[in-house]
Amino acid sequence: MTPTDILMPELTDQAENGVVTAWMVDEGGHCDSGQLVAEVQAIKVDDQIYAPHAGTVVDRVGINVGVATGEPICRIIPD
Amino acid sequence: MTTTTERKLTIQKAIAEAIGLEMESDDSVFAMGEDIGVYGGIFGATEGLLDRFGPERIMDTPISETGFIGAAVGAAVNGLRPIAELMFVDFFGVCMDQIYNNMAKIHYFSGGNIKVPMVLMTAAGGGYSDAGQHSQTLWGTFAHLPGMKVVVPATAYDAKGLMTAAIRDDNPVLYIFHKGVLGLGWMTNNPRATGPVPADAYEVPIGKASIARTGEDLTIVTVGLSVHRALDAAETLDDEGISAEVIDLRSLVPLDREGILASVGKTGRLMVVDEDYHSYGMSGEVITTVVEGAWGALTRPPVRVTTPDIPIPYSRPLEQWALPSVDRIVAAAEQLASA
Repeated sequence: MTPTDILMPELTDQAENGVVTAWMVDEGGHCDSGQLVAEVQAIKVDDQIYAPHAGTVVDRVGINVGVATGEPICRIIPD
Repeated sequence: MTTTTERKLTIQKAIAEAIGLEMESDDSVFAMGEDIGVYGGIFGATEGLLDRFGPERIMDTPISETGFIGAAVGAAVNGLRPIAELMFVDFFGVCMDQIYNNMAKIHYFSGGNIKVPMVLMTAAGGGYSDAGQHSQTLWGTFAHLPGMKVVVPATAYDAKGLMTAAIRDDNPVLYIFHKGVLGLGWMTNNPRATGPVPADAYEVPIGKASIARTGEDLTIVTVGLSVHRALDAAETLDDEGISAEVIDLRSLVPLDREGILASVGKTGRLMVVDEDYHSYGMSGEVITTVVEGAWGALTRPPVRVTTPDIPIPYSRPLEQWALPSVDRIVAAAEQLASA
């Protein structure tokens, strides 16, 4: 399987960027399928990002760094 | 290759997880409060629970704190284990008769025959310009009044374990969480608000402080968000050659006096950091505990870094000046450690 890019979702049509407010898995850490990986937010709209499959979380963006909707916030390399 | 799955939660999610697990294992546990159901609690402490347990056990209430806290007291004396959420601790004024004359005293009034196994959960703390009726901590006010335990978590692990212990406790427990440690995106982000949390239910004993950081030169006793301020200050002090021990009380009632005395017995210097008001509060109680129990160990007069006896200002610069900032803790520690 190829790695999956996890993208910043469109949280609201009022903002073009979102931020990650908390990472639940460290850089290089392992996650299970369906596990909470990150919390994201734009203005005061927030959402949770769950892992689509198990794997290793890499290329995490920084906390509170603006990321455009549709751009990756991390990548999950399958087991 | 072995892969160990990490599992971290924010404090907000750790609280919700503790409540969900106890509701799964004990049908008598339920929750009620303003906006705790559909909205999930304005600070997310009951997020996702309505979908799992339905509106009979996750109850949105009208804006009548005295009504629903009174209903929780009634349910508790009849054998249920309610969790009532008072949205902001600052709102206690409209419901104090239920909290203090009923929740805290019925066990005594009944000669010990009636138990009140309820949790009153509430949000506290400032730092985000919410003004003087949404920013107080007030834990000292409740700790002053006999009859209830008062719990204040500072980490995600403790938040879950203390909530589990509070729900299972046959005494009324006031569970106060500081808004600044919940891991909420719209608050000042505190990276320590997210931490490893086991998936299963577990208890953290109420009444036992934890040593958040070991040190030799001085003891900083604190609670809630100020644990993290003190840990930040301790890192700065470490660079200056001052080794600070940080004691996270985790509960004001019961107060772990032995844990405080043991630490001051080692360091000989005491600082109390409390976001609550300066006078007649936790800082005075902790200092008195040491003066009464370890006078001979003190090598310097104790100091305290607190919020002055003024309403919490709305103005961001004034509020930041009033709260026990890392800079104020560092400055006070430098003085305490000198000579």
